[in-house]
Amino acid sequence: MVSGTGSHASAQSGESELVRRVRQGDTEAFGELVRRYERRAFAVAYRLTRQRQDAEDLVQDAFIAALDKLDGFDAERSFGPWFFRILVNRGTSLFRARKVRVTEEIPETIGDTAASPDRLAEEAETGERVRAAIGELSERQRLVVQLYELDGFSTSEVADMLEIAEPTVRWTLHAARKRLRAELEIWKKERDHG
Amino acid sequence: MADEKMEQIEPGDPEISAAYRAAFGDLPATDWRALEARITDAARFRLAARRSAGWRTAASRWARIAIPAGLAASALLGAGLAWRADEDAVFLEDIAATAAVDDLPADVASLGGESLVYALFADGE
Repeated sequence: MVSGTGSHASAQSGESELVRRVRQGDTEAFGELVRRYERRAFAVAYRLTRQRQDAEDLVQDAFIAALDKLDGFDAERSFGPWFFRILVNRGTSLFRARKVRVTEEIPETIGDTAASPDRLAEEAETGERVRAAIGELSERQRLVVQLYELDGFSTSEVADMLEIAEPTVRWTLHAARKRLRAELEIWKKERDHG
Repeated sequence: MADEKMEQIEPGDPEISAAYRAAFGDLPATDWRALEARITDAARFRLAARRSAGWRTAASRWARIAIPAGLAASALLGAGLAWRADEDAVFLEDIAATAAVDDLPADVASLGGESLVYALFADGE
């Protein structure tokens, strides 16, 4: 734990230096910052936009916005949470502007042609069940679930990113899992009996 | 609600993950290098502006030091030259006084340098 804290502090000081160099206009340092965060940023952006191209546009937009606001950022703090807040705020605005509804969108990766028809049918039905089970969640709660369950963000990271309390994140995850388990149990029984 | 607060949320429940994946799908494949290049390209002018602003800041910082220092140096030089002129004037007054005592021509005070030396020698002869 101690060494972890040490390595975290070391990574933090390295990141502070990186931010300082970006402030001076160092292209290489900016590229390094992009490389560090683009994958996770894309995951968040994709969950918000549900379109690969829109997600890439949003990631680019967030990095440029972060660069514009960098002088107001406290370089002694971690860049990630600050950057992801920018990303989520911009993504949420975009999402609202386009009035995208989750029920209208089919994720790009669903319907993999390499899978067998039976498998596809099963996945489609599971997907329907899950969407129905968590259908009462708000957009933001759904985002909590996706970022934690699918993209590997921690509860504190999700809380920081969405500017909500960590217990709220845990409660949302718990409630969603509870509903999902109940729904999956019903589905299993139906499948076994019919 | 109390039991909900007590529950620890553990990641990696395969059944839950598979169910969510079926509902929301995986992330699509992305060319990370292309995305990085695209972002850094979009930031190019902003970064150049930051570099330029950095030079301007450095130049103005130097100017804040160099201009007062230059003014101070100019003032010192001016004062030094003025002092030197006063010294020369005093020196010429001394010569004129000496010339008067030694009964040299009255206009010796208007002479300077080499002319003065010639005048003194001429008078001596």
